Amino acid sequence: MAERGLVASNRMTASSRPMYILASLVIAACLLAYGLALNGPLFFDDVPNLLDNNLVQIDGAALDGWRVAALSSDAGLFYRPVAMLTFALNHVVSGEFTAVSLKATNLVIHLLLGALLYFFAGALLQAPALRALRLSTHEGQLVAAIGASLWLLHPIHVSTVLYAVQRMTQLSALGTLAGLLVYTRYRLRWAAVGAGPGEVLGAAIWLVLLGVFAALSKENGALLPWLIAVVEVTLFRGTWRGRSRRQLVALGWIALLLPLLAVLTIAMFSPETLSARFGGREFTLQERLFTQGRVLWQYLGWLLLPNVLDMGFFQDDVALSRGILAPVTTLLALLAWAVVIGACLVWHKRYPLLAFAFLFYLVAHSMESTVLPLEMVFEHRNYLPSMGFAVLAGAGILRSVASIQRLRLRAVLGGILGILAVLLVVRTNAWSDEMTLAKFEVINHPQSARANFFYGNALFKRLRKAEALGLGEEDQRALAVSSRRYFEHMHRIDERDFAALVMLYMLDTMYFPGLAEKNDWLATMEELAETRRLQTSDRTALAALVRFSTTPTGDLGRARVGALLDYLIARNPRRTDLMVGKFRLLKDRDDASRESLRASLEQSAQLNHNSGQAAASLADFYQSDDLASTYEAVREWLRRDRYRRELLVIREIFDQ
Amino acid sequence: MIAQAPVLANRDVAGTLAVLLLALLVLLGGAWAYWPGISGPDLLDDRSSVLVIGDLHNRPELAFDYVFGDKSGLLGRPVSMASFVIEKLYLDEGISGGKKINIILHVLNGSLVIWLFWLLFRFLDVPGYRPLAVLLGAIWLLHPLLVSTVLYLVQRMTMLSTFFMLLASISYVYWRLGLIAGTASILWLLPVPVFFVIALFAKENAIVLVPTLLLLEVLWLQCVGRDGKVIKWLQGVSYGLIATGSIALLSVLLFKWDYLAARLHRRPFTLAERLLTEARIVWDYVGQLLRPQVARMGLYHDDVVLSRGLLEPVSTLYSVLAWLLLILGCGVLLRWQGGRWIVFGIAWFVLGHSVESTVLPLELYFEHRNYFPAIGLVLALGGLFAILVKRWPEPKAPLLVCLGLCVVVLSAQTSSQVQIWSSRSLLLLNHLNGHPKSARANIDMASELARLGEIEAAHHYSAMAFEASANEASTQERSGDYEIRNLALSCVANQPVAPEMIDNLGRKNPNRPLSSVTTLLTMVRLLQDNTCPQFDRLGFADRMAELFLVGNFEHKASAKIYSNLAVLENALQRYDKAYAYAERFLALSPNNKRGLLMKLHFATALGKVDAADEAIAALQHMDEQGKLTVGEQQTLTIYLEK
Repeated sequence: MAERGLVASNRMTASSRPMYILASLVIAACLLAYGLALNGPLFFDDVPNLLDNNLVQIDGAALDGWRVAALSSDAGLFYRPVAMLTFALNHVVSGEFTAVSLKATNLVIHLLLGALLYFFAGALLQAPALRALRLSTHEGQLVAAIGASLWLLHPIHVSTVLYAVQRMTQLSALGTLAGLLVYTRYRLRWAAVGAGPGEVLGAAIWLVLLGVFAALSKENGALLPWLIAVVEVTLFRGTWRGRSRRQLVALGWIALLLPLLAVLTIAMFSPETLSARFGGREFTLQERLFTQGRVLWQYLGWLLLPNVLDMGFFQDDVALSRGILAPVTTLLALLAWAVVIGACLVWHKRYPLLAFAFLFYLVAHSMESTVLPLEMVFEHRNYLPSMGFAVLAGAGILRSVASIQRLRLRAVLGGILGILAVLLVVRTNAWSDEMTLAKFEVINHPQSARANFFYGNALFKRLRKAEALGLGEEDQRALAVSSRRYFEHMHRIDERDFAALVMLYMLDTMYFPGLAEKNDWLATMEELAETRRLQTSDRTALAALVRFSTTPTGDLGRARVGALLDYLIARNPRRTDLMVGKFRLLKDRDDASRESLRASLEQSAQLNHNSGQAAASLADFYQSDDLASTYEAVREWLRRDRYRRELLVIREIFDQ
Repeated sequence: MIAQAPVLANRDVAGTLAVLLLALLVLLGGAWAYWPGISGPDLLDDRSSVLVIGDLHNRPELAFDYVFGDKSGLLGRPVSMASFVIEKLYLDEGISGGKKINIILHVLNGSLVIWLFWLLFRFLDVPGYRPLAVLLGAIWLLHPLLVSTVLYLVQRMTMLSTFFMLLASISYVYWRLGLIAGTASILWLLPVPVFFVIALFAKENAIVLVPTLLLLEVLWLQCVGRDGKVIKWLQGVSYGLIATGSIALLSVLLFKWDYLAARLHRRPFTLAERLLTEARIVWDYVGQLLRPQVARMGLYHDDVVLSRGLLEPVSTLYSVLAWLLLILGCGVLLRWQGGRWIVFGIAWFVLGHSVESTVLPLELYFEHRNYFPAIGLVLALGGLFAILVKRWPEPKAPLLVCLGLCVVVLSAQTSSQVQIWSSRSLLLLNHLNGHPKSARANIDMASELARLGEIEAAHHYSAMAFEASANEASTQERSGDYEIRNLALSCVANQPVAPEMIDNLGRKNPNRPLSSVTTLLTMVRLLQDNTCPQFDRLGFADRMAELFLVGNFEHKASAKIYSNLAVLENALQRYDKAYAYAERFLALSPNNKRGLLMKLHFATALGKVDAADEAIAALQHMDEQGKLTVGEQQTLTIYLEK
C-alpha cells in the first residue's frame, strides 16, 4: 500500500516537473522583460490620479488619511478605492511615488493573475461540457499552464502592467478572476454531488464579496455575474448532481441574456439615455458602436498575431466609422460579429471552449467597448477579455501537437513562448524611458495626434531643462525646432485640439518671436472655442496656458487668455476647472478684476451644486481678507463634499 | 481520533492566539481612529461640570467638593467626578488630556464588549464565536454614532457607567457558566452588586443593569444548569423579579402619571408629547446605528420636530405602529430558542434607552444615549449570525468577512467624524450644515464669527438662532435674551454698541424681560473680565437695575438672574445694588448658600453688621448640619476672622 503510494507520488513529481520548469521560465522571462522598464515614465492618467493628487500621497500616520486617499480619485462611479488604497500603500512604503515601486507592484499583481488564471483554467477544463476533450489531469494542468504562460508573456499587456494607473484594471481583473475561480470550483462539486442551501449561500456571499472588490477597483468588476453566466451556459449547462437540470439551464440563459435585453430595451424605448452622454465627445453613440465593431476585431488580431509595430499606447489615429459603410469594413466587422455570436449560441454544445472564449471576450469587453462615451481604443481593455482565448490557445496547442506526430510539444511551446518573450522585450524596452516611448509611439503611429504631442512635449520638457542638461544654444535651437515640428504636425492632424495650439503659442512666444507675430494662435483658439466640445486633453492644455500666462513671458497675452476663458466658461458653465483657471489667472490682479472674478466664482458655485471645487475656489478667494465669507464658502464646500473626500484639506484652512 | 486530538488542540490554541491578535489590532485601531480627536474643543456641559474644577494643586482640600458637589444627576455622579478630579490632580492637560482618557476608556470598554460577546457566543457554541465576538465588538467600538460620547468630555460619565455595567455583566456570566459547569463560586457573583453600585454612582442610567441581567438570564442563558437542565429556583427568581418590576413600572405610569407630567413643567413639551417624540427618535437612533448618516450626526439636535399628536407629524403614527409591530414580532420570536437571542439584543437596546428616552424631563435627542444600548443591537446582529451559522455552517467564513467589511466602512466614517470633532470650526460648520435650524448651532456660528471680528455676520446668525428657537421642541427665546446675546457678540468682537441697544433692552417683554441664565452669565463674565473696554458697562448695569430692582421682582426673573446681576454689580464695585440683587436672590431661593455668601460679602463691604451677622448665623447653622463644602467653609472662615 505504502509502496503504491510512493510510486504514485514519484509519478506526480515527474509529471509536475515540466510544469515547474515552464512556470519558472515564464516568471523569469516576465521579471526580466518587465524589469527592463520598471523605471519608465509616469504619464497621462498617472498625473491627475497620482502625481498631482496630493490626497493619495500620505505618510500613513492618520487613519483618516487612508480613507481620504481611498476616495481621492475622480475616476469611475465609486472612485476606485481599492486601487487607490494600494497606491497610498506604495507611497507610505517608499515615502514618495517612484516609477519602480509602482510598476513593480503592478508586475507582482500581473504574476499573481497568471497564477490565478492557471488555477481557473485548470478548474474550467474539468467542466462537464469539456469532458469530450478527454484531457487527463496532467494534460488539463498542462493546458492551464500553457494558457497562463501565453497570457503572462503577451506583449499586449505591457500598456497595462507598465502604465501605473492601470493597476485599477489589474485589481478589477484579480477580483473578477478570483470570483470565477470560486464559482468554477464550487460548480464542479455541485455538478458531481450537488449542494445544500448553506453551501450555495456561502458561495453566493463569496461571489458578492469578490465582485465588490473587483468593482471597487474598477467598475468592470461589475461584469462578474455576467461572466459567470458565460461559464454556466457554455461549460456547465445546468449540470447538478450528475444530471442536467432544465431550471438551471434556463436560469443560466436568463442570466446571460438579461443584461443584453436590458440594454436593448433602453436603446429602443429611451435611446437618449445612452446618446445624451455623448454630448462631451466629438463622436456619437452610433459612431462609437460602429467603430467598436472594427476595434474588437483589431484587438483580436493583436491577440493572435501580436504585431508590436501596430500596437501602441496612443491609438487615436483609428478611423471613425461614420456610417455602416464608411468605411466598408464596419459592415464586414459587424456582420462577422453577428455570425460569431450566432455560431456561439447555436454550436456552444459542439464547440464549448470556443464559444466560451468568444463570449467571455465579448462580455468582458461589454463595459468599455460599447455604449459608454469612452475613448475608442486602449490595449489595457484586453487584460481580462484575453484570458478566454489564452485557455483556448493552450488547448489548441496541446491538441495540435497531439494530432501531428512529428511535432514535439516542448519545441512548439518553446518557439511560441520564445517569440512572445522577444516581442515582450521589444515593447518593454520601448517603455523604459519617456523619450524612447514617445519616439516609438510616433514612429508606429505617425498620424496619431497624441503620439505627436507626446513626443513634441518630451522634446519640449528637455528644452526646458536645457541649462541643467548643459545643452548649448545650437542644441536648444534644434530641440525647439524639432518640438515645434511635432506640435505643428499634430495641429495638421487634428485642427480641433487645443493642446497643439497651446503648445505652439507657448513655443512661438518663447523661442520664435517672428513666428509669433505671423501666427495668431490665440485667435485660432478663440475661433475653435466657438464650436469645440472640450475634452480632458483640452482642459489640461488650457490649464497649462493659464500657468504660462501668469509667467513674465506669457503675461502679454494674459488679457486675451482671460477673455478666452470667459467665453469658454459662458459655453460650459458647469466646468469648474475653467473657473479655477480664471481664478488662478486673476487672483493677484487689481480690484476691478477681483470683483469680476468674485461674481464669476459665486455664479459658478451656485450653478455647480455638487462641486466642492467651485466652493473651494471661493474659499481660497476670500481667505484672509473676508473671514465671514470664507466661513460661508468653507461651510458650502463641506456641505457639498458628501463623502468628505477633501476633509483634510478643509481642516488645514483652520489649522493655518 | 486520539492521535488527532493534540493537533486539534494546537490548532485551537493557534486560532485563539490569532483571534486575540486580531482583537488587539481592533483595539489599537480604535485608539488610532479616535486619537486626532484630542485636539477638539470643550462643549456645552463640559463647562459646567468639568471645567469648573479649579486649581487643585494649590488647594487640594477642595477635591472632595468637586467629587461630591456635582448637581448633574440624582446621585451626584461622584465616581465620574472623582475621575475628573484625579485627572486634574495627576494629569492636568486640560481638555486634550481629558479626551485622551475618554479614548482610553472607550478602548477598554471595547475590550469588555469583546470579552462579553466571547462568553455569550461561546455559551451558544456558535461556530467561529471567537472572531465573531471580536468583529461584533469592533463594530461597536468603531461606530460613528459613539463619537459624540467619546469626544464629549463630560460624557465620561456615560462611559464609566457602561464600563462598570459591562464588568458586572461579565462577572455574572462567569458565575452562571460556573453554575453550569458545577464550579460556581460566590467570588464571581459578589462583584456584580459592587460594580452595579459603582456604575450607578458614575451615572444613574446604570439602573437598567438589573432588568438587563434578568433578561440575559431568561432569554440568552435560559436558566440552564448542569446537564442542560433548567435551574428552577433561578428561573423562579428571574421571572418573579421581571414580573414584579414590570408591575411596579406600570403602576408608576398609571398612578403617578400626573406627578411625572408635572416634572416637565419647565420644558416646552408635555409628557405625552415627549413619549410620542421619543417613539420617533429612538427609531432614528436605530437608523443611525444600522445605516449611519454622519453628515447629520453631532451634538445639536434641538431642531428635532416635536410630535404634538399621533398624526402630527404622521411619522409619529408610523413609529408607534412600528414599535407595536416589533413587540409583536418579538413575541413571535420568543417561541424559538434562536429567536430569543435576537429578542434579548433588542431588549438590551430598548432597556438601555428606558431611562433617558421616556418619562424623565430631559432634552429630546442626544447621540450619547446610545452608548450602552448600541451593544444590544450589535448583539442582535450576532444572534442572527448564530442562528444562520448553527443551521448552515458553510457561510460562516464569508459572513465573517462581511462583518469585517462593515468594520472597515464604519471605521472610515468614524475617522472622518473624529476629524470633524478635532476642530472647533469644523465641528460648528458641520453642525450648521447638518442642522441649519438648530438654535445652538447658529449661536455657535455667531460666537465664532464674533471672535473673528465679523460682527455683522455674527448678528445675522444670532438672528437665525432667535428664529430657530421658535421651533416647537425648544423654548421660544425672549427678545431680551436675544438682545443681550447681540451685546455679548459685539463685546467679543470688540465693536462699539449703539446706546439705544442698551436702552431698548427688555422693552418687548417688560413683565419678564430675561429668562436665559447662560446668556446673561456670559455677558456678565465678559464685562467682569473687561473683554471690551469700550463697552458702556455702567449704562448696561443701570438698565438692568431699571428692569430688575423694582417692587414686583418675584415675577420678573428667576433667582439665578439676580445672582448674576449681583456678580455684575460686584465687578463694578456698586455693592449697594449688588446687595439688593443678593436680597432678591435669597427671597426667591431662601437659604441658598451662594446667596448667603453673597449677602455676607456685600453686607460686609457696605458695613451692614446686622445683615452680615444674619448671614453668618445662617451659614454656621448650615455648617453644623454638614451642608457646607470645604470651599464654602473656608470663605466663611475669612469673614469670621474679620
